[in-house]
Amino acid sequence: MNERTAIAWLHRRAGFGLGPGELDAAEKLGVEATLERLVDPDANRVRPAADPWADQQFEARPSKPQTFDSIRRWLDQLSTTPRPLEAWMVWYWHGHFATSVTKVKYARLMVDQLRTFQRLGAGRFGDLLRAVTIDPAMLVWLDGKDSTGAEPNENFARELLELFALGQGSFAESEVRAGASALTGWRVQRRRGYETTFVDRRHDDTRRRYLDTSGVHDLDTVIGAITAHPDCALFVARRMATEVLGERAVDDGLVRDLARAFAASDLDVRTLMRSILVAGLARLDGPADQRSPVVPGPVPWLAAARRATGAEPRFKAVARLLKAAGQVPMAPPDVGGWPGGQTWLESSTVVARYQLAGLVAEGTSESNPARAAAIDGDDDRLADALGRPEGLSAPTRTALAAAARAGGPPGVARLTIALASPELALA
Amino acid sequence: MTMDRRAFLGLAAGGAATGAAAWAGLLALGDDGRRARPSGPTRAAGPAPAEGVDAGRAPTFGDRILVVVQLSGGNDALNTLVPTAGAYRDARPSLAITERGLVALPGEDGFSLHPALAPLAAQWKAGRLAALASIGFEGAGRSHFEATDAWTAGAPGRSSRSGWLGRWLDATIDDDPDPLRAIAIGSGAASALRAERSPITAIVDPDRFSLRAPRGVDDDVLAEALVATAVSPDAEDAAVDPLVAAARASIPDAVAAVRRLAKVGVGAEGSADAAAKPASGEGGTYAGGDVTDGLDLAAQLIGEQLGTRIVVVGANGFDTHASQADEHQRLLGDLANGIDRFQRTIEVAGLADRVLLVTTSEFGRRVAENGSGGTDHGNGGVQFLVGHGLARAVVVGDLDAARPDDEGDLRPTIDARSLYSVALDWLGGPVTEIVGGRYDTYDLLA
Repeated sequence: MNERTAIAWLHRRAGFGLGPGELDAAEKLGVEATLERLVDPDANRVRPAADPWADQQFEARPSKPQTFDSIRRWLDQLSTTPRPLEAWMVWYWHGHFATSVTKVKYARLMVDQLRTFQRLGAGRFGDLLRAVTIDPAMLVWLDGKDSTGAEPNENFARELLELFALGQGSFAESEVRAGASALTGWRVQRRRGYETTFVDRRHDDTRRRYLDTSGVHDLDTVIGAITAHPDCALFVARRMATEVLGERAVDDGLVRDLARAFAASDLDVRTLMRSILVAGLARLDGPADQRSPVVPGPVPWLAAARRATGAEPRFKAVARLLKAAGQVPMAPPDVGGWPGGQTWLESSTVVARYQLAGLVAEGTSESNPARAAAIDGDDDRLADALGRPEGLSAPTRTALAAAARAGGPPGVARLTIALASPELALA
Repeated sequence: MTMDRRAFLGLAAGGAATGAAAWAGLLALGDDGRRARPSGPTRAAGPAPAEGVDAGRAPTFGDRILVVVQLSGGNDALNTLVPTAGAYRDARPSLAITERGLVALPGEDGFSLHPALAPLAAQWKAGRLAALASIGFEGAGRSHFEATDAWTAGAPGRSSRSGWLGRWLDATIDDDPDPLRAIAIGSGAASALRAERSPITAIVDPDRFSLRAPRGVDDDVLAEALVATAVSPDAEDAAVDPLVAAARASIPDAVAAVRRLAKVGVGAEGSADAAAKPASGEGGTYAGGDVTDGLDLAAQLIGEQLGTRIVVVGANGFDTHASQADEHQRLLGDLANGIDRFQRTIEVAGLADRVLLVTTSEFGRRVAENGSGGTDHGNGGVQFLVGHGLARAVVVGDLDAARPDDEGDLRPTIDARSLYSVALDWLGGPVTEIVGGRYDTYDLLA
């Protein structure tokens, strides 16, 4: 595997592709340095990413335009950030702790949750889990704000174990109830500006046995019991490795190795991510059954298309097509997040992705390397500019020649077809 | 292009020949099982009994249509089909529906309907509504995802690659499978249709189900180029990654579906009124399906007689952990309105005899209300069947709030696979093989 291909792989799996010139610059640094710049941008003096919502004015009440504005800013950031892996982690945790504005209503709370992912997403998983548990948007989304000692609400306590930290089969129903009781008392109220507060009289402080730990009664003891559970490192490692490496490339042996290093680092997410990427790079040269494509969702696909082309398609049209494709940021279908994988090959997504490809292509400047290569009919340069230095398949190259006969502004038809090709639907 | 042939198969004899070869192979029938005779809703030509297929009879998977409305989140059974017995009221001091608003079901003493379900009363009076009460999987978990997996696969504790409807599609596939045989509308609706071999069509936003090319670019030429990207190069065939193969296969199926639907006005390219529809993510409603919108589209598609046999409509939002009363009222209103409009549309189109509608939901909710004005995950639920093909209006089963299980949930006394057996009987097919056994079908079909 040559370095250029390996670097493009890193940026596809742990970022949102590459912009003009980025692949050349990274190749000069080499694969290892590129990986370190992605995983630890602070240590490598990569300039910080600006907060995309820094100058957004949030109104006192929720409003649709406000939500749209927050989503638009986020999408813009995904395709422009100098720290792609940090942005990737925010997007990843958004799917992991899937919270939807459809119930939370107030975009500011969604944005605050994303900022928490930005701040803690690459650090210790326990810190992240603790912050998410009392995050205002989460307290609204999974009803924690209404959970009291007298009447504990199980919604969050169940998903905390099943979806966020341990996985199915690692806990009993009684532990859902014990967890719900221990997490009572946290409130989010409009009159307190939607800040999380703790109300002692609403809290059940009874000490219970929970996940093989005794004396569990509050936020810290719940998080402590979960992060001490051996399944926690395994669960988080498997889920993240599957997202990065693809389902078929992840076997029990790999998950055990990743989880061991992850647990030894006190559940440091940066450490886990580094191990996953190192394992993935090693497998690029290994047998085919250790490698697997992944199907990126419409949002990461679009972010990569925009990064490569510099296109800024009209947001309203983009939002409608993302909805048709099945992935609107801040609006996952339920707490399980987007099902992903082959669901992104369903016809609704295929058709919407094709139209998005057209929007991106017609919004790409003629001086952009991808558009210029499309105009020149240079398929290899086009592939490279779209982050595929290994080139495009024979059928896609045939299709590009056919697209040239479709008319329209120079290069637009070819660029549309390249972006909508099956190769680009995979990462 | 094979589309004309597909269209022909879909229309000729209502697709009675569709899938014959594979079907005969599956059941080791002779070629005489291939007769393209018209099938109707009469008992003689009707579907096989629950035991599966009588090998002496030609299978009738001809022209009947199944519509599944999937209520994701776990619809609360007790506030949907409300029991008369007092234990229900005791368990739900604030959430119990007051007697006054309840919709009576003539001839049925044990239950009434939630007020928002009033539009269903007419179906009941016409003998076209049945309910399976306390339906689910014995010993099911209380996790949405575990329960949804069980309902999707049609088997508890098993995460199957194929859905229960996907297995029917595969069992009745022909050598030129048509992606419009099964249509998923809305979010999450495609999973029960997931098949090993059969293509399906998924539509989230019908107004954007089109192949519009950038300005100045020829739509058809560009769409042809898109299809050309997906041709599998022969040399690679054997070694090609299954996901790569799936990514390629997805393109021609989607293009074929869009083109056929465009002919009947779905996804009309650049339709101007589409702009008026709000996109999701704006707050207010769930991103996914809505029963009324989904069933409106389902009725339109069925009316076009495209050879579609299964439509699944996905609706979210039934996970009512908090402040349930108003939200559930809205959800049930959407369900009942959607069904009512759907039935009226297909009746006008003269197709009602061919269509059976059923609901699914991953579980019911706990008998006792919680402290947030909601209900937590339970087990036994209630599902409806609607259609002219039902034998009678009936509630089968019980919602015994007085004797919940150890978790405080309704015991599922009716296996979910009973509902599936009825639905598959309606379609006609190897029911026993698909659901993995014989389940009581309670003589629900006429």
